Amino acid sequence: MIIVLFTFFFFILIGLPIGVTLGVAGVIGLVQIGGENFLMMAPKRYFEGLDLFTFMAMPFFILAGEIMNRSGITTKLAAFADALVGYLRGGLAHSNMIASVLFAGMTGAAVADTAAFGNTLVPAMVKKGYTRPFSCAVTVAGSIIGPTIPPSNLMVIYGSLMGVSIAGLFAAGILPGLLICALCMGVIALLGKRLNLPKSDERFSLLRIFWAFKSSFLAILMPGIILGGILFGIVTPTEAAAIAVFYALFISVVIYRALTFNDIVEMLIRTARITGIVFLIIASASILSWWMTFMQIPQKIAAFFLFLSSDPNVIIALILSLLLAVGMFMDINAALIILAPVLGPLTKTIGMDPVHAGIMIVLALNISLMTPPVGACLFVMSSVTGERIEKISYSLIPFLVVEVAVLFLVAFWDDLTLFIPRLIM
Amino acid sequence: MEEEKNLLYAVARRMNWFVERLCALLVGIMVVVIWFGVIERYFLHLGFTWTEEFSRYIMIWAALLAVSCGAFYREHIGLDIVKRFLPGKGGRILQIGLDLVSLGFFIFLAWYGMGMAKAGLGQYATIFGITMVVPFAAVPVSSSLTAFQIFVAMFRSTGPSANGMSTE
Repeated sequence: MIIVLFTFFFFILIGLPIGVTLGVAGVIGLVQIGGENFLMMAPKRYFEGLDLFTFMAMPFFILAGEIMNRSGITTKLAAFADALVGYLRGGLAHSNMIASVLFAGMTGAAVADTAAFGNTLVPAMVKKGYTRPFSCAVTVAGSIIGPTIPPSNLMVIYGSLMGVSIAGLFAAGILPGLLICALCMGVIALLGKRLNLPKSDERFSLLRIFWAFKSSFLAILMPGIILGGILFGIVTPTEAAAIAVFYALFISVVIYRALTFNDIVEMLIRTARITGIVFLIIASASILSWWMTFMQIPQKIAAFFLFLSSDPNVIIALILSLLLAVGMFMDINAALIILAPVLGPLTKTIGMDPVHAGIMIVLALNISLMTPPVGACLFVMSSVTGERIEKISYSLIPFLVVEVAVLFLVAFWDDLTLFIPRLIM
Repeated sequence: MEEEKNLLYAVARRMNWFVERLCALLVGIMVVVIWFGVIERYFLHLGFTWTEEFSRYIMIWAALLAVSCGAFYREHIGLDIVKRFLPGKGGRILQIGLDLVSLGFFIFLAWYGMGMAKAGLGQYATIFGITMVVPFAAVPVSSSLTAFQIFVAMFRSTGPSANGMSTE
């Protein structure tokens, strides 16, 4: 076991692609338990790890997002967000947050959001007179809202692997996502005077909101269609994702007339490439996770946690600490595949609802992407904008405090997540 | 510019060009099959059950083939802390070492995947009565391709631009 762990951490640290590292560590594990006979398990797990119908929702959501982006729908959504809150002090920071909520229907990965928004929103904010570290911090903080509000690829993975209702997870993510947005906006409002955030000349105008709403209405409808379809049992999550693609295509081609055939081919290629990167990680992680199951590592870790304390609250706190640390050095898709079978049963033992536990785990992993010193979102933001990680981290502190507070609220107050699922399911 | 003339690189680029379009086609088919599944269930009532399995195998082929594109563009993500502190020759040696490990992994998958695909000859999928060789072959075929792309990338000093793509 020690050799496998050593291989894993050694290769991760020296920079071997995470998808390969997981596979190599898994194969070494296989050799260790059964020599050559077990090696046949590697390609088998690599294949079976992907052989889940629900996983198809991921490329579809990616494709729908690509279409919305390319056709300029995202720009319309940003304009709507700006009409709503742009007139406040720090208006662009506020609308950055609202945009994260509106874009949630078409994004599913925090790191991708960070890269995209780092390229667009940060320069826009800097141009309006915000400091670069603050602009970066706001964008990083907002980037976890998208994957918390459905649809979310992490929820698809968790639900598929653990047999938890994906619809339930989607419904449960809504309130925590909105709460994060509201509290981050609160932070911006509080900091507004102190940091002397710019105030726009625009006045609040209902008419402007109406026009912005009208031009982006069809795009705003999309998350509603996806969620409604799934939550009311009309379609499965995979089908809903395919319908999201259809809807995005329809409004882009027929209504906005913004796409050509070449655009579509290019978007299909990009979707395939992103899927290839994510699915290599999933496939390789399944080799390692099979080895872990064979070695009964989940049971051992659970026993260790229960040995430390039998108090459910302490165990939840331990789980959260583990998750917040993990995202610092590991891709969170991989972390989820490896840790879900470990932590899922543990949360069940202490009496947590599976949907509640799922949201807590997903949210913690998302937040872990921005914990200094080495969260992946921080790295991406730093490399996209050229700002130093230390400076972004410093400006991020108030947002991070608020988001971790929401995480603990989610963990210890199950009504916050389960209210909506109970209401409609 | 010299790299452009290199035959190996030219082959790799052509191959990647072709694989990318093949993947795009497969993703397109996948979407259409699922649309068809929904329409069939609510409107046509033909009692088809093959859409789910069929699209699943297409997805696996598309995703695994796309892994080789990731290798061509060097897009597969890893930590780059050590690489940042090792500029010049040291970094170059580290990169070659990492590439060799990746290369070994995909050759291994290709070899043992071949065994799995052969074993699939005797198993049948529930749809169309095809043998499981067809879906299983995705592992050895895509792994060989990926190994080839990694091998070629080792000789390139700089990779082609990845269009600023970043993903998780």
